[in-house]
Amino acid sequence: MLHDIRYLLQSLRDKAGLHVLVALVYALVFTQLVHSDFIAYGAFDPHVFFGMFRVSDDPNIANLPFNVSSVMFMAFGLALPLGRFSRYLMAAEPMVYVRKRRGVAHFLLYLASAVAYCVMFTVVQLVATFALRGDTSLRSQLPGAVCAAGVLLLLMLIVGAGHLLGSAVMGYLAAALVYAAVLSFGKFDGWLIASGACSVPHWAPVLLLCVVGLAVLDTFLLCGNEMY
Amino acid sequence: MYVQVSNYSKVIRGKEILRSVNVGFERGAIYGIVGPNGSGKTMLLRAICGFIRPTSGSVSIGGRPVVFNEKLPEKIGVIIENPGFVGSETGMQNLKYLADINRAFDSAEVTRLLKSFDLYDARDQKVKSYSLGMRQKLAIVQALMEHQNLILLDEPTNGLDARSVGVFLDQMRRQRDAGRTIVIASHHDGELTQIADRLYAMADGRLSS
Repeated sequence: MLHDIRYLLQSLRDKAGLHVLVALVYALVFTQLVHSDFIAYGAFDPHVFFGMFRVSDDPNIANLPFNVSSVMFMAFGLALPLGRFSRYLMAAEPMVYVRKRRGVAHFLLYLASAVAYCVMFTVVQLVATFALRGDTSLRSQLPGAVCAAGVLLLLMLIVGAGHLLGSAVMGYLAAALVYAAVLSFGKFDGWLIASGACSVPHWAPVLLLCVVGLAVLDTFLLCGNEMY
Repeated sequence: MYVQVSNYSKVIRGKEILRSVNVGFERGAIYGIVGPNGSGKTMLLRAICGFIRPTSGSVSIGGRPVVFNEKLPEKIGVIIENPGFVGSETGMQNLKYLADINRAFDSAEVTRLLKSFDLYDARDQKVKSYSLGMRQKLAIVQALMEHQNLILLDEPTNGLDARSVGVFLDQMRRQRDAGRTIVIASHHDGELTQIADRLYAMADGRLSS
């Protein structure tokens, strides 16, 4: 486990400059969108976290383009690690795996690091939102922040499944298609945002089920993944 | 036979990488497998390590089966492809981390091996500062440091200078005399003929003596 952690940390430290560059580009995009009042591309709503999906309140504007900020959140959220988490997931170092087999423990470390990354990515933007906009509150931002972080984790797991099935490209494509499909159906998004039993929004149990399902799938794929 | 590979075939994406390989390796002997790139040498070593599932056939070590992704019946020292050391850590730290996986760090043996490969003075340098030859020597040390009974080495002399090759060959003889089984895969038959007790040729997934 110690070797795994050090291997993961090293892979994250490598090429730090490129990570910083991607982060800077996103910071620019983020700042522009947070200050945006241009309704056609989803003007900033002080009651909804930047990365949270929304339902278009203008019948002349389709749902997908109304969610530019959410799309940017997910796109840069996936791009910023530059595939390092997936590469760690796929790491097949013979020196290590001849000593201990690759299995659930390896996947759990990957999952823990992915969760930590999603939380950190979201928290930084929460803080930045408060710094840039004085017209919002933690109470209004927090539920959307939790949802956005969860969706980002789900998309990372989809990308991971793609890697495990032999095609990173297909993983990214699948993640993009899934999110685009979800955003394209305003009525479905409206249902997800609406509260269900015990005032819990429908997205919460749906997201939880999807994340758990993908995690189980990825674990299954990892344990069956040959090293050649 | 200590290691027995029985009718082992492996097909990947419709291509037969290993074709009905039948071979046995005794204790206390050095075996060489010579063949060009792409002949299946590395895949055979992966099969013995249980890194792949057989399309047909089986592998056993010490009479116990090797099952894909399950705990191996014996400790194996292995070099397959470029070793993936953690570059930001020192040579000694990398060896400790690997040995600590099975709580098998033997300080005296590691010191002896590092000294014999002229790596002792560089043990506290970060691996990212190592040359190719130094990394390869470190890989050899990790393959031997836990007194593994079976040692599988794929192109172990890559990047080694003539003196280091000599040290490597002496170490292999020493390990063999201690009763260990060593299987070396290489496309250079020159070095193998110097130490191998038995040589095999691999071509197009088939092994022949």
